[in-house]
Amino acid sequence: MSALTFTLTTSAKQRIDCSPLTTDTLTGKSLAEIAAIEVLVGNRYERADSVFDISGDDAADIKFANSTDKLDFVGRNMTTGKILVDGNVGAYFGLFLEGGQLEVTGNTDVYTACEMKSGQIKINGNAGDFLGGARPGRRNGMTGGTVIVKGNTGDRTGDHMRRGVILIEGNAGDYCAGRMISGTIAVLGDVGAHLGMGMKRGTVLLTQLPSRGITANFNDCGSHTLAFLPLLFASFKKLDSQFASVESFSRVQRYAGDLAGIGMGEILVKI
Amino acid sequence: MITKLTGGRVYDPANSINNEVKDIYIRDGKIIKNPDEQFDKEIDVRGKVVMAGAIDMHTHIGGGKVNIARTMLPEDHAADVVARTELMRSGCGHAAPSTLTAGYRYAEMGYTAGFEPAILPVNARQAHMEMADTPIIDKGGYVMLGSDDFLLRMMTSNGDQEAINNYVGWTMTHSQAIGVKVVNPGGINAFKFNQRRLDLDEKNKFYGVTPRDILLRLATAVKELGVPHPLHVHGCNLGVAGNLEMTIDTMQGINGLPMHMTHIQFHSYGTEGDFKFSSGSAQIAEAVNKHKNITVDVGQILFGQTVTASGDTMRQYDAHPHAHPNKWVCMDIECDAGCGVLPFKYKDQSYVNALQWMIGLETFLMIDDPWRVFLTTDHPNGAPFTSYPHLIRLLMDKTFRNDVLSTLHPEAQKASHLASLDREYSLYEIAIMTRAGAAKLVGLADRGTLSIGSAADITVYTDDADREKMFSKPDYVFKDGTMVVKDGEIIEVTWGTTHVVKPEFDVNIEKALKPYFDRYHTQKMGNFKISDDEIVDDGRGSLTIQPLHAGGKI
Repeated sequence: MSALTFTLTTSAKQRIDCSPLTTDTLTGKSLAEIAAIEVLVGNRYERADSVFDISGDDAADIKFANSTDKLDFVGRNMTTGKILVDGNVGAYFGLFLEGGQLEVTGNTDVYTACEMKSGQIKINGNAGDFLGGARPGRRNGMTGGTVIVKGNTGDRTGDHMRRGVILIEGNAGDYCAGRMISGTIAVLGDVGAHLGMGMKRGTVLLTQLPSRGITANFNDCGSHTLAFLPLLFASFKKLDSQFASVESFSRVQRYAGDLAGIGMGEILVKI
Repeated sequence: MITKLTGGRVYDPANSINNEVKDIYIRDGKIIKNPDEQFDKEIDVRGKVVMAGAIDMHTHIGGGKVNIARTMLPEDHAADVVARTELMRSGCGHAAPSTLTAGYRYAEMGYTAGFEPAILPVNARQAHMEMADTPIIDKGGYVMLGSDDFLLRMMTSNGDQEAINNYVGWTMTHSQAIGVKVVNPGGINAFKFNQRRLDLDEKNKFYGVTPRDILLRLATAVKELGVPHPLHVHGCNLGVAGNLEMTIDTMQGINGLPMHMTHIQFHSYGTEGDFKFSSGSAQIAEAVNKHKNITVDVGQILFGQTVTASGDTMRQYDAHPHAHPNKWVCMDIECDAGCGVLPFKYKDQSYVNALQWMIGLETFLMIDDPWRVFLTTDHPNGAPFTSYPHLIRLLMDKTFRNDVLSTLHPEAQKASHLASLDREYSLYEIAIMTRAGAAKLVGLADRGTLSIGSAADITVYTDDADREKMFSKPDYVFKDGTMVVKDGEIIEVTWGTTHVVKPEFDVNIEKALKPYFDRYHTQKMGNFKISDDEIVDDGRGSLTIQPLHAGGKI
């Protein structure tokens, strides 16, 4: 069995909706059937084989080769299997993901891991804005699963995030953990302005104080030794991420907020 | 070209025609008398039910609050997407559909007119532009007064009735309205002065006027101006348990002036029982039966997700903890009034919601005169208008009604005597409620009837014991003589007219209005006025000026 590979053959002037191309929808289909699947390209439906070269046979191991940031909705609603994207990927990467693994070698566009429920997403480049967030107008973002970002994230990481873990090895943009309901965001690099604005509950774990400081609507609660942190780091050990090799620590400075709201969120900074 | 509809079973209550086999002839958008068998096209409708096009006399299809609902509910749109076809444009939305989709869906159900009941004068242009984008159906609006500072000032300074009449006439004319609505009389204004509740005889803290005064002044103005549509009243204390007495008091207190009380279901609550929430529909129906000057529409609720959009800031603010999903907007709209929009899910296993459903149906079934009760869900507040066929089935089919009833919250079932009501509406009565009666109420001289000379808005149904199926998919719908729907599908898209009235008034009222606009409004008085050209000039819209009743003093 070899990976079922979709190689983009066009220069993709229009955005391509890849939501019909997941393990769930392709399992049990022949190559001819897959070629005949209609995908939305711009404002019209076209056969999958008119935009992709399709080869391979293992629908549980899908690969998008020669990808560009025009490929939207990759891995939408997927419950099982694996998708590897070689190159950049477009918006809504992993929308409603319920299981399985997604990986992209390049960058992702906005709304990555939007309303994701479970599974794992790994981004080797940078992630766009609203990572792990909710669709516009919705109130619940990501509700489970793990997102690993090797590079940086855009603004509003974890917007309305409800559960799950986002691990950022680079820097996070502005409004990180804004309107966050619960869940965990850990950042090894720096974070932008307005960290935790409107945050209700949840944890932001930092290894260094943000260069722009902690905003006034977070209350410094002093230094703490938190026994759950070593357990959290132990759970990272199995991940293919720099977080697996971070030296475990339990001493942190704790900031609680956003005090303009219910103020039950926390920012933990290593000391 | 003359089209003949041959052999249909005609229900035309305006002419007391009840299930008579008749031929109908159409020429140039009008119904004409028998041209001695000289016709170009014949449509065989033998055995089918023929009625005038239905009229929804209270439906929120345009204006600021509907747009807020649309903006606030992307999920409502994402879940109900309508693709473009060769004929129709794309759209979306279940509870708050886009303008185009609303027009198509109304036509597909055999409706040929809908009236937006809450046009704020300052938002009227926006509302008319939205309605101008609503295809096929005719439209019109009731302009909202009663919480505007200008009227309240006039009342505080003991302005005479004639000045108020002039102001009402001026506002109706320049906002292109067909009626006047008052929402929580004075309450929206009182909310701005931090009053969170306003009873019928309670004074506005700042202006010192009571809702009762406002209703009397406006109802008198509407009567004296000769506007056919009676004052359209959304009363005090909407949705408050125990508002029943105030609703009856409102009916009695209007001193016999014509008054339409809208979504009466929300105003018919008592406080009996363990839940301190009970049905007041029997008392309300009795009062309506007794007061011949009163008309009502029900504002039936049906279960499911919808959105409530109202000008009643005070009550919407109070209801905001019940928003589902949890988001809401209340806003102040200049010196005119305000609005509140909150999504709501009516649940059949909720005692209150189940009882609301029963109260609505009890009201329908206990008001004797179908000419004075109208079929609405207060779209989208009680349910989207697309549920009308379901509602008609509930009214016409006792077995079906009781089957649904038996699945609802058990305590609510015990608190209602709906199961003992045997009445089933007949097709003739449905035709009164949704056609002839509605046209008479709104003041449409040429609609809602199949009389010779009236507009050829005609709906043809296949008689079916399943009334929901029958009313959701008419065989043919004609709008101004053009066949727009065949077998429940749109085959041609036309554009309806905007119905207005043009009451007479003394333009000297502008002497007082101009400085008021200059000082307090965001637009100048000259810009506020919507000219006829604005509605007509695009070549698609048109105005139909409906006749006034024999006038009063002016």
